[in-house]
Amino acid sequence: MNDVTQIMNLQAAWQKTRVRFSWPDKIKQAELLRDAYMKLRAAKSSRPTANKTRTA
Amino acid sequence: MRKVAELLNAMRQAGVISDYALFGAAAQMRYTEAVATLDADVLVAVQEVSRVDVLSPIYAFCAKEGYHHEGEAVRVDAWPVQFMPVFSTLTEAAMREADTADFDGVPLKVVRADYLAVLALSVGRAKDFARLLALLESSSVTLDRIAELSREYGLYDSWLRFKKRFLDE
Repeated sequence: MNDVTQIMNLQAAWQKTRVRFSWPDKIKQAELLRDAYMKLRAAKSSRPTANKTRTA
Repeated sequence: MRKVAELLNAMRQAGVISDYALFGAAAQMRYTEAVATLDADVLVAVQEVSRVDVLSPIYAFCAKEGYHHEGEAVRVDAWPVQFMPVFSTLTEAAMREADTADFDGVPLKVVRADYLAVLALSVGRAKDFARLLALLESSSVTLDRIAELSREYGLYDSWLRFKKRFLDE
């Protein structure tokens, strides 16, 4: 078994353990994921973009 | 989501809607791992289907309960909730055949995996195909069941295309 196959098998096993959470727990995980995404999106939109240059 | 469940049950009890079922990513998570989603999608059967503004009574009920709409969704606790009136025989069946799940002690009607899969097939965006694959991967629905339902709702060609593209080596 090569390294990539081993890593993928570990990933698959880890995903299976996450499927076994209860539905309410998974919904709560999704709420956290969404909060993190919204914060990242807000941070990105407030950051000045590099290609905005003032022209005379 | 508990508040969403309470609101939907209250709405049905008050006769604002005759039935409902959660679908989309929030419903998918009953069968798969948690996925990122921005809102909760709910199929609803409204009493007065002839109204142009079919969602108005729903928005009014939500406002009375203290939940206000933001764009096309109603913010309920942490969740923007999108209400979608049933619009086809497929969505009607998906709602009618939905399971009643328990969400932290509150009953919540949720579309079953087989109907979620065929609804995803009918919409056909990349994220819908990903949902269909995730449901198959979780063994919550079989290829035969999707074939059967897709035949019933005129989606068999879409199913064959999906199968050829993603499942047949």
